[in-house]
Amino acid sequence: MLAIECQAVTKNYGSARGVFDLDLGVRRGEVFGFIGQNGAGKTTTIRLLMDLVRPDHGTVRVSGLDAHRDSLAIKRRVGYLPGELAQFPGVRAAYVVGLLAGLRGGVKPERIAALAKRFDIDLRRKYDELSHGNKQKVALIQAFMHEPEVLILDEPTLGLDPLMQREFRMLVRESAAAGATVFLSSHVLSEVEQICDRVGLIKRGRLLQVGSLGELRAVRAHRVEARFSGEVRAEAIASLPGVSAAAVDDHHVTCTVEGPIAPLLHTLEDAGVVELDSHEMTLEEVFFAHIGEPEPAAADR
Amino acid sequence: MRTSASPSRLRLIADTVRAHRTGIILWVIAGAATQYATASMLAQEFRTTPGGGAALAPGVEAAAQALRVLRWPAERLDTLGGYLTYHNVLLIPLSIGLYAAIVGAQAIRGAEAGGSLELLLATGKRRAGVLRDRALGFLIAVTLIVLGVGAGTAIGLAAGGEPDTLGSFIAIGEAGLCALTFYALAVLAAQFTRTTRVAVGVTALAMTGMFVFTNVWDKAGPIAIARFASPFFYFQQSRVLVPGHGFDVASTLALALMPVVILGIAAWAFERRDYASVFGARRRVEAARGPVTVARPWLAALWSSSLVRQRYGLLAWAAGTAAMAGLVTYLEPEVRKLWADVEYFRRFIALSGVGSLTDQYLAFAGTLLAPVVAAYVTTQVAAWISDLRQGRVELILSSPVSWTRLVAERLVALAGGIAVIIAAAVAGLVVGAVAADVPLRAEGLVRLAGDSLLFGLAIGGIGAVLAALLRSSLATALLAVFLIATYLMDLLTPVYEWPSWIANLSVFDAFGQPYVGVTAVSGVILLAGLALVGAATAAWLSERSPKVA
Repeated sequence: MLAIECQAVTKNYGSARGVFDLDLGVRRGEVFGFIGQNGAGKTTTIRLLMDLVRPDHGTVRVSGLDAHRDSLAIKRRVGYLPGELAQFPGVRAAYVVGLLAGLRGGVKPERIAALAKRFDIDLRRKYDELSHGNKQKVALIQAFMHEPEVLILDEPTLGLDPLMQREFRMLVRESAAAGATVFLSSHVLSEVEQICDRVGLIKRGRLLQVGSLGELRAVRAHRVEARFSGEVRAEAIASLPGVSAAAVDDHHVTCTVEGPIAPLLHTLEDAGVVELDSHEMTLEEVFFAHIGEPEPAAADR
Repeated sequence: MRTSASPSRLRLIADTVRAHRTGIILWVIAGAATQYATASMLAQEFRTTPGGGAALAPGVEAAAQALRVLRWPAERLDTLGGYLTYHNVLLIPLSIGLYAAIVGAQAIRGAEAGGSLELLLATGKRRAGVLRDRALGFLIAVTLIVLGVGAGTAIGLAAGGEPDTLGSFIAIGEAGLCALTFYALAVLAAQFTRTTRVAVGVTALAMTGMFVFTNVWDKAGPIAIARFASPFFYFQQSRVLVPGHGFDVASTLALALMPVVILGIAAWAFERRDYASVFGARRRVEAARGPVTVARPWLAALWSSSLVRQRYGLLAWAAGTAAMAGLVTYLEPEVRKLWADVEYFRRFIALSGVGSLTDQYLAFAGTLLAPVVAAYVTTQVAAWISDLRQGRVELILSSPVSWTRLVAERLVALAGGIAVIIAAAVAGLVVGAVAADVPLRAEGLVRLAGDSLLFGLAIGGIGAVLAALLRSSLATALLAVFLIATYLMDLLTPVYEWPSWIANLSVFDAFGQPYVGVTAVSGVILLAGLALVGAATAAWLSERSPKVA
């Protein structure tokens, strides 16, 4: 059973901006990460789910309900964190949370108090005097306060300190354990890697890949980093079977290897290898591999 | 490195002018048109009155003396220059001054709240430098406004047969200097207040106080010396358009010096306070942590939470309206004499002829509530646009609230706000009437209250449609232009003896004079129709458009 479903959804803002022919399904109880570059279409997708913008064509369903026709019913079940912080000049944080809880109805005050304690925020403070991170905590409280069955979160850890990021991850895990579906967009790939069951990669409005991190890692591809004492050219490494994204910089080589690693080992042995490290691709490396951006230079690592 | 010093200053100044380009254009168009229209209207009145301006002046001067608390001394009202100075020029620094106060509060405090000032200061620019360049930019903006309004004045005087081009520009220029003082005061106030709204409120209060005090300082006894602190005092010394009055160099220099000194103090305070804090602020000792009350009954609905959120602003509106209504009613005996003597005024305010002269005056006083309500509605439409642009609509609509409910609750909140203002106005009328021993008609007050509410909701309906359609500050600007145009149509039709259908197109004409029961059924239907159709159309448009800015 899918909690979130997009079928052939297009929202075209012109100049190749928007989302195009989006087919996406998020299972109930799943934590789904949505990643892509700035302007790739993540926020547009989220706003389509929330009926904040309407698709040019295609259907969007949340909890089995039509995102537009059943918008109010969906919102009763959804906790939403917008990508940009709202401004509330002249009022206290308690006003912001209280207003949104009041509009929603049925929110338990003790749940709000518990979340405020957990995120270490004093809701008596003036909202516009809060730091960016503290405003983000207020936004997170309103998203989680009614224990929604679906959480749609746009850049949820933006501005949070590491302790609060950890607290957020725990909250997501608890919500998922309680049966909630979590759909989140993030640029913090390590965070997505830690908490998401599956990941969707979007580029220029088109969904490139969906799958678990394991599925996204191309056919047992490995990242290899090695240090050597002799000489070897990048072209020589890149020409080896199964090797891609090769970079050589001052006796330091990085590359990706799919399939047998023996040819690379022979070449490195000839170059006087002194250190060798091989690991499965991280989400960041998968991201760069799919998005097609150049690998960071070895010296930058 | 010298390379960036001058260009960066110029860029900030140019950015300030660019930011106010719409305001400059609107002020030039509205100001020049008003000056030209008033001058040509008066010229026509002089021509059609037997004996001309000389015959008209004595009655008006006598009444003007009775209204001294609201105006400066009236002199040479037999001339266009004298009359225009008394009737219009005095009000220009007040109106541009209010605009300047809003801009001044935004210049530093607003930029801090929005985060843009932090970026500017991070470029290595000094705080005082930012303040100075913003002020220079606004000086250019005011200069452009002065040139436009001055040109309108000069053309109007020339068309009326009393050309005085240089005097026109000097008179409006001094009004501009006066307004700059209020820009500076707002910048200073903003160093001591946390929000722009409070800074604007404090400045507007100071401006009103100084204006009234300057008109009555000769009766103030030992505190009369305080007049020297008022820019209006120096402004009054130089009345170049009034024959017999000259250009007062010393007063003009004082006017030019005031904003410089005040901005200097503001810069000093700005350099010494914490960023995004107020001057002299000390962090409060944290109170012991008790439970936070989040769930409150008035937070369960948008309309009630909105009213609570704007309670201080609403209080200011109510207090101002009550004061105005009370003062206007208190002046009834004096003004009644003026009306009895001067036929021109009777035509200008389009007396209904229904009831006694007192009833007619109170009916006229009641009509003053319409522009106040219109102005309040315009601020609320601006707030709706802010809600959208600042992300509040997105957050609210992420809860189970539809656009239709949001539009409906906004209009309910608007009705609540208008009701508070009407109640204050009625209270002011009653207090003024009791003080001046003027008889009031209860049924008239009820009609006035009901019609004012309907009028406000009609404008709210138009504003809601504009906000849903345009989703930008253009909606507020268009509503303001519509209201000014329709107000002038209603005001000028009897004066120029235009066909009555022109006035009938005005929402102010539909408002009528409810105190004496002069409100056509067609007017009530028009207002109710605008309110209902506007609300429905706004909801329909909103439901079909994206919900985010």
